[in-house]
Amino acid sequence: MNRIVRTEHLNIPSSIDQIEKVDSLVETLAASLGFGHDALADIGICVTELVMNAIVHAHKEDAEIPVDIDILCCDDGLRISVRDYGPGFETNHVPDPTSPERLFDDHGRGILIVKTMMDDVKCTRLDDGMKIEIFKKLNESSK
Amino acid sequence: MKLKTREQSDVMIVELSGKIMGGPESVQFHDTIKQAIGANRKRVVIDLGEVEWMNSSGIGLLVSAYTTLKNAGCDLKLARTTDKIQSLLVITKLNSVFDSHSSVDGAIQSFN
Ligand SMILES: Nc1ncnc2c1ncn2[C@@H]1O[C@H](COP(=O)(O)OP(=O)(O)O)[C@@H](O)[C@H]1O
Ligand SMILES: [Mg+2]
Repeated sequence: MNRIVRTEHLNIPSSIDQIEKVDSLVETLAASLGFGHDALADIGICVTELVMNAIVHAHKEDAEIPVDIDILCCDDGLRISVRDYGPGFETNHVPDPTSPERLFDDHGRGILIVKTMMDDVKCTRLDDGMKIEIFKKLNESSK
Repeated sequence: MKLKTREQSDVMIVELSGKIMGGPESVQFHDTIKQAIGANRKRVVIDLGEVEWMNSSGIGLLVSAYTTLKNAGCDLKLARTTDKIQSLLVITKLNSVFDSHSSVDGAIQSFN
């Protein structure tokens, strides 16, 4: 890993109304690191996907259960980890939302979008939950 | 997300703006689509020009509008689809499902 410029930690209750706050902090930090408009959108999209999944799928919106979000601003890019305390899931076995029988479903596209938009995605199944780490590279095309 | 509706040439225009990231606002969107069907609006345009970005929740809203309207015998067009939304439609292989136009007027004219 490269040099860490700044770190932030968020511990939020599992309530959907937290999502805007998380996005706004993450995008502010990413902007101060030098990410441009287009990359900021990618980052906002992906962090809201993961935090929504933790709130809705892992914790069934039980506000008592927290979601832990770590934001690492590094000189080579932004690293964010989203950690939940749910049952976990196999990220490589999520059904393909582009298959003909799922194409018109109104859900099921979040993980695909995150994997496509981020430069690196690491999913770890823990004894008591799930940790998903994403990385967006800071370079000429993302500035 | 903010949502506004207006009428133009017997077409219902649904204007979305801001960031579409899922949450209570989805209910308002579904209600609007149902209203369009209830009011016998056969043609609906969703104007995406002022949307900053959307995540998969937003894509889910577009797909559900498409199916709900289609099942009711109504027609949906997208207008001013941003590059970011277009790339999401490509990633999710929905780009060929939607009929997208670069202007609202263009979308309205395409119904005829
Ligand atoms: N943090 C999580 N904990 C448990 N299951 C999850 C989690 N995130 C995702 N999933 C599972 O993976 C599926 C796919 O997630 P996603 O691609 O975001 O689609 P969606 O959230 O629209 O269902 C979810 O439906 C859920 O079953
Ligand atoms: Mg999801």
